[in-house]
Amino acid sequence: MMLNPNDPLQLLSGSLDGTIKVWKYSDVELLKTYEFGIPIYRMVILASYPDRFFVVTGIPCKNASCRGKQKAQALLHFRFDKKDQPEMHLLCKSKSMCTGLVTSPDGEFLIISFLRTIRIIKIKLNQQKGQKWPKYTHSSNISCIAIHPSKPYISIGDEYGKITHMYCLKESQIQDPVKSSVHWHPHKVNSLAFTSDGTYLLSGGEESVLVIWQIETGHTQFLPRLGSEIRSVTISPDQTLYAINLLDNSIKILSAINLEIKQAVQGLKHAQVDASIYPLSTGLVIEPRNHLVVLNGLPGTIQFYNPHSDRHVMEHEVSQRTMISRAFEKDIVYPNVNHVSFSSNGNWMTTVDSREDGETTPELYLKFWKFDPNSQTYVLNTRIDNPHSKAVVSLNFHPGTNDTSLSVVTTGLDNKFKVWKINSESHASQVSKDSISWVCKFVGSYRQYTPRAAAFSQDGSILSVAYDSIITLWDSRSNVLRDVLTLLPNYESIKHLAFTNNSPFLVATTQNYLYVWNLLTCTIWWSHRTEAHHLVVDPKSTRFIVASNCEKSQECRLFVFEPQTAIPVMVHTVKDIVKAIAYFPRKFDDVSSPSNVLQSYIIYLNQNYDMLMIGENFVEKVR
Amino acid sequence: MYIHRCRFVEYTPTAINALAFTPLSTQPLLACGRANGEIEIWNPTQRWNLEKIIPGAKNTSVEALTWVHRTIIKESDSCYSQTKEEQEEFLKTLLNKPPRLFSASSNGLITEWDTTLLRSKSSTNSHGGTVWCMSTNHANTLLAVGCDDGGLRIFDIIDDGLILIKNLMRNDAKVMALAWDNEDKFIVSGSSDSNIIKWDIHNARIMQRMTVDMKHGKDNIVWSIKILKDGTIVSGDSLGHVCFWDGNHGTMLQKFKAHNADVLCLASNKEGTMVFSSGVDRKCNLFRIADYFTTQSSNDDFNENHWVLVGFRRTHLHDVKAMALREDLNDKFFVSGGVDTSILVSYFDGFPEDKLQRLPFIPNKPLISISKSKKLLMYRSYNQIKMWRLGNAKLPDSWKLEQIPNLDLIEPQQAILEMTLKGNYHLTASALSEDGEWIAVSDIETVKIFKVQNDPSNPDRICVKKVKFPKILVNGSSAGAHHLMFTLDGKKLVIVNIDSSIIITELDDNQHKEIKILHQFYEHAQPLDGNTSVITSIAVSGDSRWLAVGDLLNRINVYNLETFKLHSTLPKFSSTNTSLAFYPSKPTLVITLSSNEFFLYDIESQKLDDWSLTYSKSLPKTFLNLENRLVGCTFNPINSDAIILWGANYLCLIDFDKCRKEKGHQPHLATCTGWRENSKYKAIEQAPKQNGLTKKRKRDKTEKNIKRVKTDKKIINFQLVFRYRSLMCVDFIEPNTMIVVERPFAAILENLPPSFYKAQYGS
Repeated sequence: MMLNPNDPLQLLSGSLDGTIKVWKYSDVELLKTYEFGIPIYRMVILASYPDRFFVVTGIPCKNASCRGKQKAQALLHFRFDKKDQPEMHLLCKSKSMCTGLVTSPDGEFLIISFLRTIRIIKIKLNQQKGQKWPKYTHSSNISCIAIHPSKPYISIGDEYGKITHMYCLKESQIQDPVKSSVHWHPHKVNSLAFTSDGTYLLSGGEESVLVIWQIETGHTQFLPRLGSEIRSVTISPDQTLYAINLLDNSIKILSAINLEIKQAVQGLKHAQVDASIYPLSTGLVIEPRNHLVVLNGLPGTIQFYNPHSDRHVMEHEVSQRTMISRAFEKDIVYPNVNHVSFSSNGNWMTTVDSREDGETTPELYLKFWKFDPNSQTYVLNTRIDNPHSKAVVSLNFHPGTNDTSLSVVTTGLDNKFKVWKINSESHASQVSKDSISWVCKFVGSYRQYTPRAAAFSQDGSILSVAYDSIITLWDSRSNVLRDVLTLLPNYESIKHLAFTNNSPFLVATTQNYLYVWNLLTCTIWWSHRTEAHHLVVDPKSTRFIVASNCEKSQECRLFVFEPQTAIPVMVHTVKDIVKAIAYFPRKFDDVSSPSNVLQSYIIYLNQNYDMLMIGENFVEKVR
Repeated sequence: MYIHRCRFVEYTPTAINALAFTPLSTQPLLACGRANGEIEIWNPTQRWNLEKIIPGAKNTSVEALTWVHRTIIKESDSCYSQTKEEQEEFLKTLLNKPPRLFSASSNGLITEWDTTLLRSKSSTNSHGGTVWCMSTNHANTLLAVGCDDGGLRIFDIIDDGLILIKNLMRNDAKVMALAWDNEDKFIVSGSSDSNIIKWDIHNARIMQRMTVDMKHGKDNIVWSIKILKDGTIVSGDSLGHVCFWDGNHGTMLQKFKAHNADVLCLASNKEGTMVFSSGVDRKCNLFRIADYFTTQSSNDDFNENHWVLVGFRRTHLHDVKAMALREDLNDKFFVSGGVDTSILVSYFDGFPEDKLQRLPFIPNKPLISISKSKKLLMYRSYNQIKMWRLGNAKLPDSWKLEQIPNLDLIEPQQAILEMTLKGNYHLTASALSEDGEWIAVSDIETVKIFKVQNDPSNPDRICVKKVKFPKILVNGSSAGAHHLMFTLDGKKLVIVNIDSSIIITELDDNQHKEIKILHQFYEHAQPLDGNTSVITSIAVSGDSRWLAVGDLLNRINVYNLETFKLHSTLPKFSSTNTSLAFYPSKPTLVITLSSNEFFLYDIESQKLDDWSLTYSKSLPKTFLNLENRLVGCTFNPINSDAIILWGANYLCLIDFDKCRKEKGHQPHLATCTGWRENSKYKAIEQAPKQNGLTKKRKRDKTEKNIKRVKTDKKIINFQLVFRYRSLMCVDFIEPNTMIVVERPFAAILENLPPSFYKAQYGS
């Protein structure tokens, strides 16, 4: 993406679908589209040749062996004539990824860097191939390049954090360029940017520290604790603002004078986290107080997000940690928040977080947080270390609002489920009311089966715990086993379990089946063979949704059921893989709903961790 | 096989103070001056062969070194050459003369050294106290020295010494560095009071004064000055700054805070585009010129040189005190040395990333003599002779090859003699006779012979009695020896005189008689093409019949010690020989060369051995390209068809028998394996006959290791062992019992004072 050098109100964007589009960004208007037919990874156009594009594209692999990360890429030169017919020249190609493409400020040179090599191409009006610069090889993998605005050198950042200035742009120094390097970053340099007068160089990388180099003296100034890895840095042309893009999906704009943050734009944070290590285990949880969506943020934190206004509202650090960057090649293992649950009045939040790095003792904490109305945040009330001896698989709040009846049930892989309550009696006489805490009131187990899921009925009277293929029903007040429901004839273990609202039905899903029980008769009311990846119950109506992903077609079908009947009320197909789904209550002022067919919106996260919201007849992308 | 691994010999080289390459007009040699006055001469073209060592003396040091090789005709030479032909002739002789070596010492003496006799030729007093720096002008006719009293003295170099012609006095501070201007009209000197002074030599006055930064008002010492081709002055000072000054106006162009501590040395290439700096913080920085112009405004005035700090490398383990640079050879490189006692060779291309070479610090000339039958080991230090009796280890009852542990020492080694020699000069040679009865030592002036006697008061010690020995005279003055060696039967002593003549003396048990000189050979003292030479290695055959002598001009002669006749002269090899050794059982001589080639020469038939004719030209590449050259050669008496060659950091076992068997097999010599621990045990199982076992002896004696080696795979006939480092001596005292004397580099570093730099991050 770049500004048109000849018209500062035009913005050009190149994309992988093979087009370059010219936008007028002040009015959000698409002016022109150039068709290339090849995926565009990087592009550059020059002020003096507005009809020419220099484009980096991927070369399709012929054999399957090169399917790794290192894709062969090539730099092409396009020239559009009057009829917009492209004319193409190959400038250079390499077997590795292109890591940077810059032009010198006077438009004389085009510099492209691949994984280890740098090529310099001199652009002349009629002759593009008069290239006499040798291929420079860098000793380590290049991560980014930048060119000095006035002096004849380029700066190269590499994966070891070194920044090398290479004086190779003057004819006398082509053969044996003088190199000079500075080294502060312990890890890869992600981005380099020169100020337009050439006195400062900004660099950023994994350390979350913005480094400002005074080039002449080598003096460095640091802006640490930016919160997340820096992905790119740019400087406004008048040198008053620095903009940095961070890995946690945010952009921060800094004042160049005192390095204060002037503005920050924050998106959903989970998108950049490695999902294989830190899965989105909380799902989407609706906070009852302000109806914010709560989900995993950076490892160890949860974020509160307002989908209506598309704003990041709050970040809550479940397990506090010091922000440090790794010392060696091995990544630091952070704690992950596994489950979040809120009491129905929003006064309490419980979380389960764990950390397991394979070396030190595994950590597992159950934390109870109380809402503090003054600071509008949650304050830690009770921490229980190792609530279960193995991983916790579910966490559910009792739906009641009364503090005394409030209880939390956790199930663990250690074959137990535990009921936690506020400890009101023991210290009530001596200690003031503030010092209430949560204790374990009941430990239950059923034979030696492993509990999978648990659910409270809507009125809170029944607690049901699902074991492998058995559902047990307990009286939630007396903790007495009331009934056992057995799945027949199938022995798949239950994955999700939920009570429907306002109707005596219990929904359970296994790998391939969906069962609906009638609790009045304790029989299976109906069952359905379907792959159910997610099960959500509408809090406002009796309906529930079963989401079934199809990996092949990258689609997901959402079935909306009424519990009485096996025929879905509606089936909605979305062209995404649904990672998490929730009913989202309608805004109170949003009374324009034409019918009461759908009581709530449905929000879901797709495979790219974009948040989407489904209303009656529209899909709104929130991100 | 048993190996005595001896680490008790505390050989400690001293710090390197000065390094100097010969001028470009002559053969490339590197002189390395050490803090104890020793000067080593290395030959970079012979794979960094340490050719000569000029011994030091008491209370001297080398502070500065200069080679002088005059290539122009002075006015004073006009008496020799009137006509043009005569002048050309005279110039030719000048060019053919070897370069002269001058050194300056902390005792104020400037000494010229004779590089063949390896002793001083003449000395001149500077009369200014310690000489801190010394440099010749570009014409090599004048020598300028900077003295402790602030005087900058200029000497005329005449054929037999130096004549003081000018004294540029400035009483304020010591002159720490000086450099000649490119036209030899000015001298720029750096002093200890933060000043850089430009002197007009002709009028003996100060032209300019430049002042470097001072910190807290304290004087800043300018340790090093260089003048580049374009007249730019580069200075290095004690605040760690490297400054570039305009040579005409004396204004500072650029300043780099490149070092954390004193910059002690600078080096620059001939075109003046590269400057290296190094010093106390062990960094070696490279500065280069970057053409610096604004691409937007092509303003011609602003097209001046701009220096860029390219990068640094920290390879030395202690302060770097000297650097020298040479770029006319195949590789462009510079050498650096300092308190960590070893020279590092770094190559320009790819600096600071590319590889470098650490030259071994153990001299070629043996410091250790061994009496095999008596298990005695004698070590010569600068002024001491020490002798040990080797210890004994408990033999294991049964061999369990998988777990051969260390052998326990039942009897540790025992120091039985420690003798400090009087005399001003450091020792040059020593020898111990095979029966342990005789000790011969020599410095540059005298040879002394001692008879060993048992100490009646202390049976564990021995005492010595000096035996009268006639004075050897060379050029009318008393002379010592470069090499000493007893014949194996203990009846004769071979003395290599400093003028390279060889004296054979007879030893007699009758102690009252003076030792007789039997014969003197003069072949090596004869100049060859006008060059005289230094003998590098001698060897005596096992039956005491043959004596082989090799010198730096690649002449190797074999003498018969019974008839006192020159028996044969070997063909000339292409590179310098580093050692000679006779087979213990047969009259075959092994010659090792600095190119890592080796040859076997049959003395009786006077030609190269069959094996050598076939294979010596097709040795494995890996072996030839080993970083350190061959130093010696030894034989296991039990296996007459194998030899062990060794260099500073490796042993190589070569089995000739296998080479012969495998004759038809072409690439078999190219197989060269490392002696790795894992494969070792396997190999032992495969070949029980050649099993190896080492017992390692440390100074604390209780600790032991084991091990070792010797694979018997069919094709392998070159086996390399890198287990032993910094070898001083390798020999067999009995069949299957080897002695390895090593001096680990780490042990030398332990004794050094703490260095300035400490690694702080990531370590």
